[in-house]
Amino acid sequence: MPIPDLQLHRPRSLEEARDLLARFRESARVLAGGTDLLVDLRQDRVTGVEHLVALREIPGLRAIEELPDGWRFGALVTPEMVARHPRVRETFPALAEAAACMAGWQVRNLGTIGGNIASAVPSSDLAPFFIAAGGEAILTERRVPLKDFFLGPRRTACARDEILTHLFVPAPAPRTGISYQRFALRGANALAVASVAAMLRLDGAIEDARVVLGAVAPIPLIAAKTSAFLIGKPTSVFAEAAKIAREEARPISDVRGSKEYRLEIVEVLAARALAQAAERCG
Amino acid sequence: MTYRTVVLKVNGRECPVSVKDGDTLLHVLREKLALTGTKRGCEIGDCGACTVLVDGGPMNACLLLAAAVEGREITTIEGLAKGGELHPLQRAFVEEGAVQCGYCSPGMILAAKALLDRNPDPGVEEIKDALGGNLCRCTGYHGIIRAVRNWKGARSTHGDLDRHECVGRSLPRVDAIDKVTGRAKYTADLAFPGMLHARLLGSAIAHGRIRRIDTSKAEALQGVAAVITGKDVPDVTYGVSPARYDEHVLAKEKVRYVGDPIAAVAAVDEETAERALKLIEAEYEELPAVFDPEEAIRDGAPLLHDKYKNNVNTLVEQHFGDVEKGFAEADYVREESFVGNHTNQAPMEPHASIATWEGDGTLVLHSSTQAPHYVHYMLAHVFKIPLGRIRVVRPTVGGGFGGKAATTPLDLCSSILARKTGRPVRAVFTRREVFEYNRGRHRQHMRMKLGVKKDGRITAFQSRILLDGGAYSSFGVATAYYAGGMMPTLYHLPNYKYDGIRVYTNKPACGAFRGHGVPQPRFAFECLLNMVAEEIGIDPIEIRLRNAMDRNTRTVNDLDIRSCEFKATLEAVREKAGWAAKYGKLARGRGIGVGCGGFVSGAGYAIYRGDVRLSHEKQPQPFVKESVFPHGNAMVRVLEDGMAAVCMIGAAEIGQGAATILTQICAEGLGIPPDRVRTRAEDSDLCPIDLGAYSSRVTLMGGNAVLMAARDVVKKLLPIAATELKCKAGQLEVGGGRIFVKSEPARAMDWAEAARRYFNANGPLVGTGWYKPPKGLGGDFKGAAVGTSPAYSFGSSVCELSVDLDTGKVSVERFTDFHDCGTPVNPMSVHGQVEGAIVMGAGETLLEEMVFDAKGRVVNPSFHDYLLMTIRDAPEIFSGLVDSYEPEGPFGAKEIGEGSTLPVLGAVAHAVANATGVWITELPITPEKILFAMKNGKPRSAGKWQEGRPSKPFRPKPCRGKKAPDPKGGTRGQSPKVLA
Repeated sequence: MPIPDLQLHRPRSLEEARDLLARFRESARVLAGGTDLLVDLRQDRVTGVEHLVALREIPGLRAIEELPDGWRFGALVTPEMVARHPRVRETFPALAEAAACMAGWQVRNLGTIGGNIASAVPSSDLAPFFIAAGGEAILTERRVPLKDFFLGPRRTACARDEILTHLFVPAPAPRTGISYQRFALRGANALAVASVAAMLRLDGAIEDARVVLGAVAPIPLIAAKTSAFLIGKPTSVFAEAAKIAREEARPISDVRGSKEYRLEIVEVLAARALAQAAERCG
Repeated sequence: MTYRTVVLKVNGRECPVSVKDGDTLLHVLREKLALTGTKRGCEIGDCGACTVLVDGGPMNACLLLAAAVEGREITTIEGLAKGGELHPLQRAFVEEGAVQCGYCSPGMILAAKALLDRNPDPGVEEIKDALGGNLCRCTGYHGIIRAVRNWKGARSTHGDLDRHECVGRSLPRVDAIDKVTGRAKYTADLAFPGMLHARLLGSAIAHGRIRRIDTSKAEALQGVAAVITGKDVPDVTYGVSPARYDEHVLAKEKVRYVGDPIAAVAAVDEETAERALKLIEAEYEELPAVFDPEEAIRDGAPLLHDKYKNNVNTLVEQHFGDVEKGFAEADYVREESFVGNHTNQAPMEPHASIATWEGDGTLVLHSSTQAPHYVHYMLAHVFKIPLGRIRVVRPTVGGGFGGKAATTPLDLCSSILARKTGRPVRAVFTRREVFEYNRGRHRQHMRMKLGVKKDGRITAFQSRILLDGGAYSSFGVATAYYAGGMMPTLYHLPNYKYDGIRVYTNKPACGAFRGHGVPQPRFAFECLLNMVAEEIGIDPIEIRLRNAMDRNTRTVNDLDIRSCEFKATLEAVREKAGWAAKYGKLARGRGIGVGCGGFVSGAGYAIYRGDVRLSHEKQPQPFVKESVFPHGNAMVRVLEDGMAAVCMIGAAEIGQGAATILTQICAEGLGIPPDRVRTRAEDSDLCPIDLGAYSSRVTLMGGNAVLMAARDVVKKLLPIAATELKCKAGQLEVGGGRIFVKSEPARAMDWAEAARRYFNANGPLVGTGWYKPPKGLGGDFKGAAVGTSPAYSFGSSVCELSVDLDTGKVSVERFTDFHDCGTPVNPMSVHGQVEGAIVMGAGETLLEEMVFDAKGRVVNPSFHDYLLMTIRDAPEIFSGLVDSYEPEGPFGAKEIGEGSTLPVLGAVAHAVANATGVWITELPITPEKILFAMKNGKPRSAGKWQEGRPSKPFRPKPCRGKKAPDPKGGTRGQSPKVLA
């Protein structure tokens, strides 16, 4: 299946890119790494695309920056860069782990973290982490908390003429730990059947908690009840919390697993993620 | 359509090239820059075959737009060897047996190269991380890990034998250098001037009558050269088994599965052909479809083929001895149901064909096939032209496993389109089409019953199997017979009954897949035997030893077993795996299991009856218990200067190593070094018929033919040397490029000199050889031919694994395997087959399954959703061989390729049961099934103790024909693993 006839644009600035998007509207798509978009085009999953606006030549989108209040990741940073970044591994081991478990090395080199978020695939490995960490999507002219970013499968708050340029993660508060647990059917290069990211802040009891479930709902799902349940509780309640997370999940059955199985897995992963997050609180 | 010129920096050179913006780097490298070492395996980033380095990092060329990588440094496999010198990593791939079919090799090597650039001394875990995106279907990843670990120069050992000069030694594959450099040309890598590109249109519905196909819009599209439909193809059915030719080249009246080809287009490029397909309008009268074989055999079910009532394609009823009596004599009887999964061979290279008609009316077909002769025969049958008017060329083949054993619609449609347009036509399946065309393993619904005495001796075995055949026969008649016929080869079964029904359903046809019909019943039998052993309190290996086949035995279904060291494989595997210290002593969540299996070394009879004339010219020929023509035929021609020999035989190299094995046997027979022998097995104009790479026949049958041809050459040289050395020809021997007096090895003549003298005096020095299976193979009952073979292999595997008790996820940790493959010709190649079979078999047991939706569409026709094991999933493997000598085989050799798969499924299933306490009897054994079985704790049906009647110990009959000797009983295996 060939990729349909289309025109590739390689703007050198965000302004130029936005002009192109505004000009071509529905017939244009932003091209970051292309690992989702080109497959979709080849498989006829998206139609009517005549223009690709490639971000690669735009400067400043490939950097990982440690700022006073947090971390800023350029949209074109690759999962491989994230997974190998020594300071990221130290500060956000869950993010490095999530990036490292994605696809194979080739796709981790080629894909981008901005693309992984913007394509809004329900099984995204990065979205649960970024939401749990309180991250924000930096668009060309505004910032959107990632918890509000996903609207549906392959649908986000990013408008046609906007571009996701960066992802921001606030510096972790003291005694905070984040874990990302995913379950896949094989050891490499496989989509998550289900995943859970959990953020905990401990001070004796649980001061803050955010649990996000992946691949068990049309969008990365914030397990609000689970998170609320955890606050103020001791760390001995993880099994109970995991059961609540299971109730919050809304999975479907597909070739990777039945709905019933996903519920089982979500519970297991939630318990594991909470335990590891607690460990990481230091 | 807009083109622009971009300058790509490829392998250090600036290449201006005209591209469309939507062209992928993969397309441009292959089609515009002729850098075909970058392979096309899936085109959606799942397989890694198209891996290139971009600025030093591995990326999928199928996911990059060529126009977007302008200015970046691109390295393809062609850029790795510098100044004609292989990169040390390439050399390691060659010498460590990391290359089999070679289709994954370029991508694998480039990813590994990028890893070594980062860390020249990576550990196994790091290697697995780096190569997780590269799928390999042949090697089980073991040779690959060895090569990457040993790239600086160390090499593994493989237990070579010191009995001969070439045979018994682990020579690197003869085609490996071409494969690691990207020089090896697979069918889709070839291009001819003026070549057109064809695509097929498959039916969108599972069952219907074709009302109308309108191709006018497609024909009007610029760039389209020809469109054909069912009305343009011969009114001839074709297939595999002559009794069941049930396919048309393109559907004429009915479509029977989603994807059933209804039209084909030839156009200037694939993209145009693809666009034309979308313009073809097909209207159907949709018919009710049936997908479940149980439903399909019921009265009133939708009928696929009018000729076959109740959709019964093949019915087998076989009864040997008396099972009722056998069960009455048993002390313990156990019944169980099993389901085998619908899996696809998934060779890394998709099927491809290129057809050309030459001026004199000769059809030249290049085809990615494992059985060139059957393609040749089928082209002659469909087009009603003599075999002599057709030339079949088999370029390098990227794996087959049975999936490329039959003639494809690509072969036939490209031929028709080439004739219609007068131009060469290339047709290549996409990965999706490989799945939709299928011909994979039948889903088998199996009910089995086993009776044993208290001491574990089997008194009777009964098996009833329903095979889900899909819409056409393909190899399925044989599959249905194999599913029963091979059961008595492993254990003494005094009484045996088998009922098999192969049923048509509205799904893609199933066919022959590594182990042809046998892996699933073997899985089921091994599970049942393990259940019985555990229930009556006998160690699972012990119960096998008590029932194991002995050499020189005739089975209850009249198969002649000659060499058989099955017991030795069981004893060796028990010892090496540390069975006694582990079995029954592991913590919950950890498991160990055993499984056994074996296979034929070549089918005893050809697929079609009679001689090789066109089928429609033949008189009906009854089945006679003798092969009408030789199955393996070879010609050895010595070059005029005496310095090299060309070994010509139609046996297909498909990645299994046939060309290397045949080269070794030929060199041994001639008495010259193997680097002076070139095996040319690609071209039907040069090579006499060999039936092909199926039923694990090449080593034994092709090998015997080659050996005879080589000896025929030597016979012609000996008189010349005898004159020179003043002795009798009978006193002479050949070896090491010399002809010498046996008793006085220093008295010698140069082999090449003798060959030159022969040529000067007599013209071409040519030897011919052939192999016919022994006369009288098999019994006198219906279907007795299936399962016959000159020799049988045997093997035992122990699997160790762990199960995550919370999720049901299995990690296969270690396999220990011992095989009786006769005397190995190339131990490294043998172990490579075993390693590949273990990973493929474990993947089939745990992961693989083709899933269909309610309309009969394949839900997972991609490597994204149909999961093969990756390097991360592959267990550590120890592969060993037991001493054995097969009197029918060349230098004592028999098969390994398919037999190595058979023990795997049962061993994995047993280990899972051992770890979890639950038996999963339906493949694949997914985490989901394991978890729910553990949670629901469904009590399994148990067997029945009964008052077994006394019975005489079973005394099997001796085999007919040659007898195998008692070997010395040694074992040999691989060097201590680098994988730990």
